[in-house]
Amino acid sequence: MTSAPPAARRRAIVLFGALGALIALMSVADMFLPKAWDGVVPDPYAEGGIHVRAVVPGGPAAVAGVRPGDTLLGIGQRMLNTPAEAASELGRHASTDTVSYLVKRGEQVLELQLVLSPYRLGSAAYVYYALLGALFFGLGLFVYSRSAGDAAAEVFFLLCVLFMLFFVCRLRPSSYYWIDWFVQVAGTLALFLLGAVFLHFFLLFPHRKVFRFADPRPGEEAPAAPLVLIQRFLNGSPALFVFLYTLPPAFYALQMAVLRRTGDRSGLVYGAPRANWILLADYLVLGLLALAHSWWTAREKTTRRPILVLLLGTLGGIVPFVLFAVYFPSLFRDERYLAWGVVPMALVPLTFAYSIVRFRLFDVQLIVGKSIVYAILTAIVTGLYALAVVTGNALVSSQALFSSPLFAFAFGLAVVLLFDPLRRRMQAIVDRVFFRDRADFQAAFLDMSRQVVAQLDRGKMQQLLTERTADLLRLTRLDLLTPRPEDGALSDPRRGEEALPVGAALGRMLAERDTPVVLRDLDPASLDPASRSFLKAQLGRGVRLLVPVATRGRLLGVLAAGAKKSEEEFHREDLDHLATIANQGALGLEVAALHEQLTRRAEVERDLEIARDIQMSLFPRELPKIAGIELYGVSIPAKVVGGDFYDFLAVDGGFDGRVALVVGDVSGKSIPASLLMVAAKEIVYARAMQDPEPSTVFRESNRRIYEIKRRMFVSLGYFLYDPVELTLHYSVGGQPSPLVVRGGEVTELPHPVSRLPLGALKDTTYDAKTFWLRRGDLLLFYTDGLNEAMSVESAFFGDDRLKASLVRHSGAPLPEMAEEILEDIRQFTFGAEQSDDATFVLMRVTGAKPAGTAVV
Amino acid sequence: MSVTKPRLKKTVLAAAALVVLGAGTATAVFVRGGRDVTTTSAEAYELYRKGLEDERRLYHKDALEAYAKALQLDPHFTMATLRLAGNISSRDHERARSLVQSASRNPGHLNEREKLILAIFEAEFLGKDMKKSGELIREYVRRFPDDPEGYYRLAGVLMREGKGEEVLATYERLLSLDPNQAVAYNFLGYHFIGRHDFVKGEDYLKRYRFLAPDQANPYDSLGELYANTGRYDEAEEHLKRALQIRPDFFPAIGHLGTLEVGRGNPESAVSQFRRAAEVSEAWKDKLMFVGAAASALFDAGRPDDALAMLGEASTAPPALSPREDFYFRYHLIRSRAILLARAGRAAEAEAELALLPAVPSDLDRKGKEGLEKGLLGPQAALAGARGDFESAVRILRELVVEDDDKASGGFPYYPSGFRLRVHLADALLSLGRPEEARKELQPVLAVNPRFAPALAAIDRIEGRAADAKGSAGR
Repeated sequence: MTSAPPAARRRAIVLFGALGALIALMSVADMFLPKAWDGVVPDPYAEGGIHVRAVVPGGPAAVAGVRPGDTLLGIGQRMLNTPAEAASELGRHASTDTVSYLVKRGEQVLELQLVLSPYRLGSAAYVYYALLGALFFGLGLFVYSRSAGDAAAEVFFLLCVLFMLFFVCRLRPSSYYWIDWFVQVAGTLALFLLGAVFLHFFLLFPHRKVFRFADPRPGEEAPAAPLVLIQRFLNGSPALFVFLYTLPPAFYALQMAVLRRTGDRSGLVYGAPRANWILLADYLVLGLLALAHSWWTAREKTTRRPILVLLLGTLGGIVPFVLFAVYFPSLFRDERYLAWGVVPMALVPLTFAYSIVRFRLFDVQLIVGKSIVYAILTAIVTGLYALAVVTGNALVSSQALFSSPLFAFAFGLAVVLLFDPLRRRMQAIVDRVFFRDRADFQAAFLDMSRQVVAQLDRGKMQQLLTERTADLLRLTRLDLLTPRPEDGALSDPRRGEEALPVGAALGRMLAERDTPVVLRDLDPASLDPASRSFLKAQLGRGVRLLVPVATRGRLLGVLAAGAKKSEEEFHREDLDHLATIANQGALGLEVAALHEQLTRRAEVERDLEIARDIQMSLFPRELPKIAGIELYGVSIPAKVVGGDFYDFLAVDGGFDGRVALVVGDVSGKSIPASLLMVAAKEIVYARAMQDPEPSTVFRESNRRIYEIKRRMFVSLGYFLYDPVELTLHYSVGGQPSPLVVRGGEVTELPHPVSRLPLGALKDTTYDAKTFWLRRGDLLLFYTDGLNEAMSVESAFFGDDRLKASLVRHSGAPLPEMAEEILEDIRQFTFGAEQSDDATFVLMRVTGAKPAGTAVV
Repeated sequence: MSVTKPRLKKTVLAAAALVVLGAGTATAVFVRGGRDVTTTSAEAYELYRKGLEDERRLYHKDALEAYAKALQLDPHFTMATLRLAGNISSRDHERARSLVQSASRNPGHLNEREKLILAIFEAEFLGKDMKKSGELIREYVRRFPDDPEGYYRLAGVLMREGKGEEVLATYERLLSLDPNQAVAYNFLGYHFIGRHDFVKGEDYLKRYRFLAPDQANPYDSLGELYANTGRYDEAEEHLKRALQIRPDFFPAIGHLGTLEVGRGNPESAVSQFRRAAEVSEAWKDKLMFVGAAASALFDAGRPDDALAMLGEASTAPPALSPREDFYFRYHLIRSRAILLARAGRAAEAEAELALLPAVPSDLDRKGKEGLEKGLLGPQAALAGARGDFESAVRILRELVVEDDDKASGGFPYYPSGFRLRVHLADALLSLGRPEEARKELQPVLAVNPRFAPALAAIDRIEGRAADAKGSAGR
């Protein structure tokens, strides 16, 4: 047996529901539209005339003398064989016509005159049946509209339609009208199908029931073949359901054939064979047993509770129904207790409705506004009080004391005072029953979401995200797969299982969507091999869902969720929760990453501060007092630590001898530059202390620095001041030549021939020059960070501006001069970030030497 | 369930097409009205249906009018033509025949059912082949087992064939298909009365009355039943109701006479019988009522007036055919002979019988036997007049047995059978055999415990003076 395509099946179900509703409406309308009425309640299933089952007391038939048990032979000059013909005849008369009735009573034939009256056949009991049917239909329609495609919801809808047809179409008197035919056929159809659909539903709900009584356990012998066959039959749904649905009509056809042959109609109950009624009852009882079995075998408390509620409600409705509405009429031919069987049936839809609201049955989430519930409660309480007032008045009105206006006032006051407490008490109950669990869950969920975002520790955040969520949603497992540092493939760092490589189709799919992906819905054929392999591994681990943890289109990780512990399918709300959690997780991951970055930066900055301190300690703490010259040095690193340095070396052992002024600039910035700077400084010092000759220092230092670090250079100015000769003997590599202000003119010190920075080439020779100083000379030794300071427009401060600044401030004491030069540079670079370390040393010659010395 | 616009459009179009198709079909069915006969005129069809309805309620006059009007609207309406022919055949066979001929010449596009009905009419009217007609009717029933028409006609065939039980079953089948067939109720009513199952007979006649409350016939039938079973007040009410509907409905007047006889009021009976004789048109009916009136006069103690009445009837014979004239004279002389004999004037009675006309030579054997049996009554009366009560008893018993035989198939439950038994009882009493006399009266009183002549006979048996007037009050 092949099942119909979903769309065709859906259309068929909708059509069935619509037809059922139409017939029920026709039946109700037929019952309540006024029509010419004779007050006869015929047996709708009798043949050969109209058998009067009852006459309505005070109705036209009763007034005219028609009695139960009579047979109506004719109405209004027409002989009749069926109630339908009677309907046709009555339909020709106005509601106040006097009409002849030919009645057979025993052996007598009487002609009676009936004065017809307008009448609505529907009684209060029928109103209840109709409302009950509407309740069933409304519930079924609601469930189906919210869970279309779910097999159990579809069967439930059909069940509700059949219950409606049963109540509306079978539990009604015949009206004689043509509608009766539709209604009776629909009612008979409902009788056939109701029990089978009821059983079918509880074989599917809450889980597809699987019978296991013939599966051998380890060590057991193979079961008998018939048992295996029966088990296979019961578990092969098409065969089982075909059998279930075929049985009632087969029973009906068989018995009707026998009845037709024998002519004995005593086996008919409401026009249907008694055996069909018994079969209906049997199906209902089997359905209840199936539900009870589901409750008995459910493992999770959360699953057992709703099933128990449904079981109790369904038992409360079905058992009286079976007893009083099926067994009594069919076995004992006693219809007196019919209402006892039908009235409690309201428990069935009410219990289902309660379970939908309370336990989200059929994955239907129904948010019942508290205001609506409270309004209903208030109305109920008001009604109760009104009833109390009426009852109270009725009981005490005869006594003089209670007829006093004071009593009425006091009674009213008592009602007013008691109204609110009672309402509050009822609201509390409703809150506890309907809203507490959900509120608790939402609070816990919210709390966890907050914690996920607030947790800065990535490990703890991941733990919170996975373990707490799994606990809240009752999942068998929930893992967070994150990109591996080495290759970015998604994997669980704790397990090191199959990873999803970067660029895999599944990864792209997850990055593109922000909703959970149900693994069983994926078509492996549409995936690349890597994704397929990953998918297989995840399914093997019991993973059912992959939830992307992404932000701004960037996949930060994936939540891999296992099945629910209750073995239920994932509800839509579960998926929403997982998606929300994934979003919170993405935020949390980003926050944690940011936090890690900040922490690392703080650590670096702290290290840099230390390095700066260390570096600053490498600069002269005090400027040496050297005869004949004044000195002032400044070094401003572009970062916390820089690559520039300057120092004064007493190459002869004290500052009263020759002093070497060293100004260095290491290529690059920050830590590497500062480290090289330290190294370079030590190298230069060591060489200078061995042999202060500039060219020698340069040559030796170059070789050493080249060995330390390739492609990092050190520009160096090495100026050996001789206080005796009042000269500067120097070499400069990779640095601008110092400026000298003499007689208000600024010039550059002559350049040595070799100007390569140290470390550029392995073996390089450097030459040295000598500059004879004069009293009043002002010299500026500087690194390129000074003249190449950049403005916001990326313009250099330049040699000219530097020279002008130097000349302009040349009369000032050295510290002030240094500050003024820096101020000029700051003004030029206003707003721009310092691009390079800036270091300079000012030297003013205060001693004297004979003139006429020359530069060598 | 998401519905895309194109799909919605398709669905709406499909639904609209279905609605149009359904409405068209419904309209066609409604307009055609499920017609089972061929006609070009909807109005003619409605008239035809009305005619059918009238016909099944035995409103033959109305039915004739309806069929005639239908034919005016559609002259080629074959079924209306045939129905008209069927309804007038008893009065004007030739015209009925010509109608069937015209239908046969222009049958038009008939359906199978109509063709078969036409063939039945052709067999009956044109071929005068009742056997073939019966076969065709049986074929009709086989081919159209749910059509009441077939059973209606089959019952007629079976009745002709004298298959009483099958007639009964056929009418019951007819009523299960169409419970509004008055003719069936009328038949079934008399059928059960004939079997002396008066309860069932009354049941069916009441159904007939219910179907045709504005017809005189069902009231008359019920009135007759009540009169013959001693329910005189109900009988009077029904018979008067019949005469209200149709004042010239002579059977009801005659039954009023019968009612008065039963009540023991022969004088009143005389006037009713006389009036019935006046109103009736056929000589047979007139003769029957004159005879009844004379008999009542005799019972009222006025034998001379009774004889004078018969004599008066014989002096003014209607214009009759020789055969009719024979029968007229035969019954009149026979009645006079009986009255003369009952009056003790045996010689005059014999002289009267000698006046009987010669039996026509071309009369068949059955007819001759009937005439011979008709003379048993006067012979019994003569035997009584001569004091030969043994012979009288023997002849009367022969007549009673014959009457009982008739009761199984016909309806002679009154008055002849009852009166025969009263005469028999009187003869037995004259022989001093009162118990036998009482026994002979028991069947009469079982049917009508208030039948005054029988009660008078009982009184005579018990040695009391008979007072018909007084006994009627019992």
